[in-house]
Parts: sequence; structure tokens; C-alpha cells
Amino acid sequence: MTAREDDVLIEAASRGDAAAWSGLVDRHLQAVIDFSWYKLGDRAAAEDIAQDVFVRLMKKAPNWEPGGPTIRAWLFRVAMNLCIDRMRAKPMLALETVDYVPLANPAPEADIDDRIAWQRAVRAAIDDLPERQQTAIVLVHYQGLSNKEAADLLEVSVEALESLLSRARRKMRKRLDPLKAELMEISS
Amino acid sequence: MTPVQRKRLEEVLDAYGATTSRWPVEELDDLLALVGSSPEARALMDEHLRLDTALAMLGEPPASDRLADRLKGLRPPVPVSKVRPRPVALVAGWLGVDRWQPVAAGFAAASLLFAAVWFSLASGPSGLSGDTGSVSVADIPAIVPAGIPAEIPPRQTASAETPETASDLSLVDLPTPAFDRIEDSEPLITAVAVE
Repeated sequence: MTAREDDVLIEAASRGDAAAWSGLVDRHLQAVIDFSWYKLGDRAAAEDIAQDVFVRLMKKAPNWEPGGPTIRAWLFRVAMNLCIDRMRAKPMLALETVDYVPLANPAPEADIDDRIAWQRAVRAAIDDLPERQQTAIVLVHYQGLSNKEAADLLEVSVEALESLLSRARRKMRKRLDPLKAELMEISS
Repeated sequence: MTPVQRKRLEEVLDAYGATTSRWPVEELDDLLALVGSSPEARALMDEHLRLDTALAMLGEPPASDRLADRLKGLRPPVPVSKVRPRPVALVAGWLGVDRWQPVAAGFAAASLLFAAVWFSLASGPSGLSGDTGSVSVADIPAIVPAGIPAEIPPRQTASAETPETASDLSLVDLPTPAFDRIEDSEPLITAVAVE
């Protein structure tokens, strides 16, 4: 998946090519949903934001200038801003309402209640992070962006990104350390 | 492991964790070599691995096929400048011209020129010529009521030729139609004497 291919697709989509537009949706929708979900912890909200992001991309398509920021970077940036707007407009979700997501490879002996408790604890630790630290963690740890991509998106240097990530991980470790023994039992 | 190497490894672990796929690409080989050769480096990694395991427990949100289908149904608005009027677009296509605006301008100019030439030819050099064409009064059939002889000598005819001016046109005098008044004619119903 290259930025050049995305530029070709969006140019074709702007001329009414339905297949090209579908291609863009296939390539990027899930990443935008994931990003919004990691930021907000709410699937419905994440889908709302993803829809909004793609509607904006659709409107932007006729005026898209190739060679600038990649479509993925643009999508993440718009999603990031919409997530911030939403977090400001609505109070944080109560932990009881946070989605529980089954893990891909759960240990057979794992107790589902323990897993739910762990997911909530991790969710709470992410929610408590300052916004930029949270975004840095989401982009690098969950979205798999490279340090350069994440730094560009946050408009900081790679060194500043590493600083954001270090502070975020330190806070999370401090918060989750008391549960560490339990975690090691569950994940073993 | 030198102090400098240890410091950098700690920085990388603090920022990116123990999952090596997140480590900076440009430093990856050196760091992997360090971890492979130093038990101390491996111990540092293990500490950070616990947090990575905790973060991974958040899972991944499921895919949304319905949203994908809805979004695929949308169509980006085509800008006005990219919309070609159909006939012009057709001609532009024949000419192999990508931009339709110059073709449309050419059409407009050619239409104006054609209209100007046509008007000048139609009006002629002296305005109204008086030419009434091939239609003459003689060609106009007279409306003659039934019962009137077909051969009625006109009291005056303009001439045998086609009249040239409107004053030459005169109406043909027709005799009064020989309709009897109904009271002068025989009664329509004859009384029959009844004995």
C-alpha cells in the first residue's frame, strides 16, 4: 500500500470512479475505526467518527493535491481532531460501558472476568493519559506507525515523540504495576 | 554492554517497549545484536514486556462491514470544471482534446459567425424587393356559392398579367345570389282539403 497508489485512487474517485472510492474505503476505513476506538473506547463513537472522516475525504477528493501529506496521515489527523472534539464535548465513558473485546488467542484457562477487569484497567490507564501522550501510544503501539510517521502526524520531532511515549508508558506502568502479578498469571 | 548502549536501549524500551517491530528501523540491527549478546539487556527487555502484554489485552475493535458498505455508496462530488456538456464533450473526445472549454468557445464563435452570414444573405442588398413570389390573386380560388354559373364575366379585371401592386388588385364583382326569400316561394307544406 503506497501513498502513490492512494493518490491515483483518489484522483479517479474524484472523477466519479466508484471502484476507486471503494478501494480507498477498503484500504483505510478499518485503521480509522481502530484509531478512534483506541482513543475513545466506544465502538459506536468510533464508527461515527470514521464515517465523518470519510465524508470529509469524499468532499476533499476533487481538490486533493498529490505529493502532499499521505491520505492515511490526513485521515488520522482528521480523526484525531474529531476525537479531541468529542472528548471535550462529552464526559469520559464510565468504565462499565467500555467495550469488552475478546482477544484473538485467549488462553483456554483464562477467566473471562479477569480479562474484562484487565481490559478496563488498561482502558482507564489510556484514558487518563494527557491527550498527546495518548495519541502517541495509540499511533505507535496500536496502529503500528513508524516513529517518523507518528512524529509527522503529531508535528513533533522523533525525539519529542520518544519523550511523549516514555512518559506515557511510565504512567501506565505505574498504574498497572499493582496488577502485574495477576496479569502474568492470566497471560501465562 | 557499554553505558552508552545501555542508556540508548533504556530509552528505546521506555518509548517503544519490548516489541522489536516498533523499534526505530535504523537502530534495529545494533539493538538486536546487543540484546542477543547481553543478559543484562535481556533482563531490561523482560521488564518492559509485561507492559506490552498488558497493553495488548485491550484487543482490537471488530471490523464494521455495514459502515464500509454505507461509505462505499457515497460518491465524491464532481467539480463543475470537470463536468463537460455532452455535445461539446463528444466533439472534444473526437478531437482528442482533454480540456472542453476551448472547444466550447470555438463552438460559440462559429455559431455567431454563421448567424451573421445567414442574416446578411437573407436580407439582400436593397431591403424589401416587392417580390411577392409566385402567388397571385388569380391563383386564389373564388368562393362561389352553388348555383351560380361558373362563367361569370368579371366587371373588371386588373389585367391578364399578374398585378404588380396592391392597387391593381380588385375584387371580382359577383352578382347577387339568386336565393328566393322563403315567403315568396311556394309553401313548403301544401294544405290538403279534407272532405
